[in-house]
Amino acid sequence: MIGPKARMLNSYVQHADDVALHTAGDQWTVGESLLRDLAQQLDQRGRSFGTNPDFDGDAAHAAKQAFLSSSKKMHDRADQMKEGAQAFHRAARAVHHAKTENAKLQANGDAQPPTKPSDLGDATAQSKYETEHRKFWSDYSDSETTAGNVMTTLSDNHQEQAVVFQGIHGEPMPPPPPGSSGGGSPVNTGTRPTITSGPHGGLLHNNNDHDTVTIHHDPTDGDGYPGVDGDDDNGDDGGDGTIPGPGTGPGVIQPPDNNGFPAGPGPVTPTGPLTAGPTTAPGGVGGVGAVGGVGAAAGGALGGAAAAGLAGGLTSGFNGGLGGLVPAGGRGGLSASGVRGIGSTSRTGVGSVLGRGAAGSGRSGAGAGGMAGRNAGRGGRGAGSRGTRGAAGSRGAAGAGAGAGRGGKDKKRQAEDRDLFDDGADWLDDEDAAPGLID
Amino acid sequence: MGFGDIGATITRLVELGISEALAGELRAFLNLSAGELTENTPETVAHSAYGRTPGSVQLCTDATKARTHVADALKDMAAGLEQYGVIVTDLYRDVRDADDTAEVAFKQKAVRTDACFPGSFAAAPTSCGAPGASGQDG
Repeated sequence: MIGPKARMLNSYVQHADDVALHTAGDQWTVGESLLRDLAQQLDQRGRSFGTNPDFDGDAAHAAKQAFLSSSKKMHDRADQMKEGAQAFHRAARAVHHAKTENAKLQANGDAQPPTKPSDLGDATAQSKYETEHRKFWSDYSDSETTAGNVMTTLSDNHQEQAVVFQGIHGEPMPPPPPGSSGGGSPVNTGTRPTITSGPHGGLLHNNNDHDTVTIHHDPTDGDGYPGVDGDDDNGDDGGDGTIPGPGTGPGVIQPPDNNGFPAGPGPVTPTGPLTAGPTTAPGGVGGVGAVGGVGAAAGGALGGAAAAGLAGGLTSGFNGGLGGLVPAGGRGGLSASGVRGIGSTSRTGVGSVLGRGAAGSGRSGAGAGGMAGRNAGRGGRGAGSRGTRGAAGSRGAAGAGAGAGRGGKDKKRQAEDRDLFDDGADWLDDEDAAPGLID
Repeated sequence: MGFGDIGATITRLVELGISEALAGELRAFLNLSAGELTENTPETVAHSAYGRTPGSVQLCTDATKARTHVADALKDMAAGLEQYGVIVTDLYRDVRDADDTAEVAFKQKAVRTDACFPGSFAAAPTSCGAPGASGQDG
């Protein structure tokens, strides 16, 4: 029997493709290597200008400065591409892990709870039933826990990798849509509201200021996924301890799909190849809504095995191209003509063009340290701060609504005598009460 | 620089390793590299590949944005490399017969070409490849 969390996990990862993510990482590595090689070439060319006393004019100096400056920037961009490549590979590994775990859970999905023996006097049968019953529900609980953990791990990992790419594109985070509580993320990325666990279905104790709530909470549920446990589906799990009333903003409560549980961020429809223009993601912070306008083209000209081909073809194609540019004999031809390469030695100048393979062999050492630092430094931009901001909005909305409602009643009471049986507990029939949260 | 004697100039060029052939080779190298940069721009990854967790959506959004910036930057850098090819040729000419005006123009061109190489992927795209942009006017 597949539990709701296991079903949700399946819906999250069944179409995920770790191979595509690895391929993307490989492509970024190719770009990184190319940039690094070119940076090295530019650096060598630049340093060759103006090194000879007979060739040290202003023009040569200007060319040298430009080449060296560009080389440095290309090298830095190569470092960034390396960070991006590593982020893709980490995302791919996380997806692979999630899919593997999901496959295990789905494989065990045919198990059904045991049937209680009709003969209540058969102690052996009853004992066997009780044992199987406990085991079944224990396994079920474990599966649900695993599914929740896998979803959380995957989502958290992807959030971490997103920070890497945020550092690359540098675009500001889009503001939350007006009226949104900002807590639409079904994965708990913030502080949960005050919760007391208890054996009974809970009553929402609203103390009128909406700051403290007490709800029933399934002890086995520790991840805050809405729609899977039926007790905290208000979608504000990333908030600040306030549970707003229902309908506090678009995307907060996700409509259930045909299986009766939300399918996460919703269906994603590729909208075509990405163009050079700026890309926006409706739904913005907190994962509210779908990706929407972010275009993407699956596959592409390179195809699934493009990375390896690129990596191989890069060097060979490059060298081959150069071969056609150099007179017969390559370096020997140049040397034989008595023409040295630009720079302090002809070996450095010309050989570096032809020997890119050697030049690139040592390129993989740099960049990792910078990435770690960037991740650490950018941690504050993660989901926690966004969740807090969103939840604060929801509290404002809920508070305003409650205030208006009560104000209307107060005016009414000013015009009428107080009802004999009115005990003052007007929150019981308050329109602002959250019916979905009261059993 | 002012080499009056062309014979002496050629001699010096040879000593310096500056030859028309080598300048041409350099330019070809830079042009080829520019082509490689644009040809090896990373592909966009399909949304579904990331999965559908909220973190997946965020990652897809940011990775796609980053890829767009990288693609723009690679195009700019490719244009810059091509313009450096022009500069190398000019440098070769400049050795032979530079004057003050040409030298000033050359330096300006070098600075503008360097601007094609972004200090960050986040930097706004330049117009390196546009007609009249750096390197295109000389």
